[in-house]
Amino acid sequence: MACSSMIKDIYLLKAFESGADGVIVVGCPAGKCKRVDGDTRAAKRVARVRQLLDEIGLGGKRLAYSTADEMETTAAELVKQLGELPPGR
Amino acid sequence: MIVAKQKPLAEIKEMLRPFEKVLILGCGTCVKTCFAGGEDEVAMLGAALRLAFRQDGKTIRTEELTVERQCEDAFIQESAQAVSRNEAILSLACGAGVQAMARRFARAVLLPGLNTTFMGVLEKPGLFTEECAGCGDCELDTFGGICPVTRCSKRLLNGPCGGSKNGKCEVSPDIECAWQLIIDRLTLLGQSDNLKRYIPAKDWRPSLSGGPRRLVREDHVI
Repeated sequence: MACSSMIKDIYLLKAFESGADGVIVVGCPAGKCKRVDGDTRAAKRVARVRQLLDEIGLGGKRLAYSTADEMETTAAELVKQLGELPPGR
Repeated sequence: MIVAKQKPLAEIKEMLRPFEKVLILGCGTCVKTCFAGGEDEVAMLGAALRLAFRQDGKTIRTEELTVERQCEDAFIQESAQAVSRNEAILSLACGAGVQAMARRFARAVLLPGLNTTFMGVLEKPGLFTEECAGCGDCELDTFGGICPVTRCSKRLLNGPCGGSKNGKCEVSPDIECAWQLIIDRLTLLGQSDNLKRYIPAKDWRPSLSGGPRRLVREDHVI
């Protein structure tokens, strides 16, 4: 994707429908989005889908947003959380 | 435009529980603009429902379709085959669209996926505000284009209540005092004399309070 804000909500749900246990959306480092506020839009979209995942019963913790420079930490945290959850299927 | 909001997922899920094949039908006009019932929202709801029912060990088959306007028969007809293939239709249209579908497809189970709220505008990205109550007797010429029927919490027609503070309504600080807006705008337009007009008690008969309304244009009736 040219920008994290191009990730539509439906792509995230489709990932879980296809069997993903967890998903991370990665955007530009804070304050450095080439498209001005694409990262802000992406983060808000992720927050909304996390809430929806809670309503679905899968759990919003399976979805994370991270900036590129913090991806390693975020991925490690997500993997740890997924270990405490049942499979997404 | 008509502004609506999607019902909570749990409520929709319970409506659909008796069915295994459901058509999720969107509308490409007002509810698409307010992010409640367009193609994207249809796809999202379909995926969310399939995932939600999977958690219960149930498989629900959803078909997804969006028509230009669910309130017009010419567009609704396009959904006829999809309607016949499914046990129920989850309509993501406003109340008018849901009922138009029920009128067209008398034997189909029609379920509302949205709560229709108001007639309004997109004030800024992400913010929709109520502007028109459909009272049936518009007097916006008197009020400088700002409606006290809709936007004054007390529906006052002859000036402010005196309870506003810093331009905000005493009912809630999130609500702008409509009469402050009216006075400011009439002043800007040089129409302050409008404030001297006495507006008699409103006749609500032209509104929904007078019963369901009809509009007939004989020149268009064939």
